[in-house]
Amino acid sequence: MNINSKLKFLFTSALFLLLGVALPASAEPYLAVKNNMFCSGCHVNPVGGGARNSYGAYYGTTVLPQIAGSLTQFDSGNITESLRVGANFRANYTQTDLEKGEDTRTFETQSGQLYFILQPKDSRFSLYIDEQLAPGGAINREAFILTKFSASSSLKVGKLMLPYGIRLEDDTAFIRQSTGFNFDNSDNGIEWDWQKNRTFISTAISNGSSGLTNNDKGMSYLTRVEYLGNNWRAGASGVLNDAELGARYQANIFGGFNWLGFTFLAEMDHIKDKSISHIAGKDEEQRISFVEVNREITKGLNVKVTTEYLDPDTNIDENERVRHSLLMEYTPFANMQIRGGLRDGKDIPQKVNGNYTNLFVQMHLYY
Amino acid sequence: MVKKMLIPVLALGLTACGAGTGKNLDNQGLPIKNSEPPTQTNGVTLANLQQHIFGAICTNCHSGSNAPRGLRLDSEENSYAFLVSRAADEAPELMRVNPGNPDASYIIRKLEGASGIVGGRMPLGGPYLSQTQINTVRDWIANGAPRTGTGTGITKVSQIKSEKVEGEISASLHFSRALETDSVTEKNINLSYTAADTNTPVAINKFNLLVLDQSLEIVVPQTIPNATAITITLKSPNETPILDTEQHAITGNSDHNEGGEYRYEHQL
Repeated sequence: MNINSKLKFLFTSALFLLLGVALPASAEPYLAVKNNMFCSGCHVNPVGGGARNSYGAYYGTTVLPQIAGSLTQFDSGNITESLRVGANFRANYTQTDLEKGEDTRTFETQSGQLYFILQPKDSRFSLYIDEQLAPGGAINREAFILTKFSASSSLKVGKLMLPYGIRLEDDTAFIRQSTGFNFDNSDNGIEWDWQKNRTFISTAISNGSSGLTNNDKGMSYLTRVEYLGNNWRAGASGVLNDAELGARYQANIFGGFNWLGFTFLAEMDHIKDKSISHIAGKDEEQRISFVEVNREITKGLNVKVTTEYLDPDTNIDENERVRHSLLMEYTPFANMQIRGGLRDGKDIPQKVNGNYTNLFVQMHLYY
Repeated sequence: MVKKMLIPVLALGLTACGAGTGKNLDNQGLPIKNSEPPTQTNGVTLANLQQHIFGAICTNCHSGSNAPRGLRLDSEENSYAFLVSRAADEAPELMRVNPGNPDASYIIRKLEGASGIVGGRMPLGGPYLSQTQINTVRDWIANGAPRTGTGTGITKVSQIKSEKVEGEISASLHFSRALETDSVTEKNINLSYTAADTNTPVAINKFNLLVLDQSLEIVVPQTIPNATAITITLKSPNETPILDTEQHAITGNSDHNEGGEYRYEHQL
């Protein structure tokens, strides 16, 4: 990128930011931390993400936006007593400048989801479907039967995005990309969620292959524990994917808290994969960290700074990656958010696509 | 307060580190091996793709036991085993890599974000591959997607793009291997306009050719205002075929034999 390109990039970036291009917030875990709630406070899915429940819809209508929606016209998404719907749609303008290589400018549909929750009257069973309709052909992100044993205990069976660490919306975050637990990589299995007072525990068994069916006799075993304190939370997750080609072990600790009006989130991950060995006699080991700081500048306007670190193999020196982001999330009205920001990715110089500056602006409809 | 700050402080400690310098590492971020440098060949090898694309970019996600869609690209062996002649999870009617046929390979559609793909364009969330990078994958597939070497597939057009700008039609043909420049002449190429069901050939002195490595650029002014299409035909007769740099005639009709006509129509 030459100096003129850099100037144009900075000018355009500043223009978008000054125009308030920016942001959103639904399905964002910082909101759970900020309000000191579990994700199930706002989402149908006990572990968060996807369709919002009635309180989530209320929060998105009246609390989140700068100009609150009408309570008399409040629409929670209930079509009938048995059928509930929801949606998210994100359209982006993105410009990416590589330090070496071809720069790009593009409008694109990042994702469009429809959620359906069908719960027969007076039944403890419900069907949850999260269908991604765009971009490209439809793809099912989650589809499961949810069985509520009690107010604090439930079982999910089907295609799941398994709970692991902080459930960020951004699938490209290192903690979601490298661990493989993201919205683009759900798995088939069974998950049990249990909440007692301030403790939330999830355990799951899944194929571990991320394919349509299992490709070997091994399974993946997951546990996640989260404790909610007074204005803070901490948790840990662990996974053993017992694949025949080589087992993969993953573990993390994560947490968040509020302090002086700032909302902090952090996660640290360690991955060991016995099916990959770049150095003779040593299995690949990854180390990842993520820190996010949020500050509500004014009602409806949140500024977010994130910094990420990835060591793709601790057995190899000088191969680390970092990514820093400055984001703004503006919710002027109910159901509409504008999100935007800058990301700066740094990788070893040999990896051309890993060294970039990225500006994006996103229009996000949530329902 | 100490409890609250513990994880962020630890995480911040790691994030404060910068990116690696890449010293003594290859394009995948792996230690450079002391092996003989590969002999210069005309074509793309899987080893080359692994170094610059699969291992360097795709393995950010497609690695290890829970790789997305079960597609592992973390070694040459895995890339070949999980790609070549394997049905695509998202579109089982297509192969991830259909040897000899890049346009019918699902990986190309996902990399280019073509209509008809399921889910998002790859790499998910970007930065996306440049067309130059995608073309190297196209070339490897067009040459037969060989496990080693550059393949025995006959050199062919692996991608074509055309556009009309300011009264001129330009077409850019990308071949799966480099061409022998002197073998490409106006005599190997027919251009003709279609207007009201009549074909009008373009005289050989009315268009320009530029051959550069694997690319053939054709530029022709639109001389028939009411033309609805222009057809480009590459001829490779036995006497004066278009050759690659290994002196093999290209295949025009993708029948796995040298020779044959290649036709492309640009709608005006």
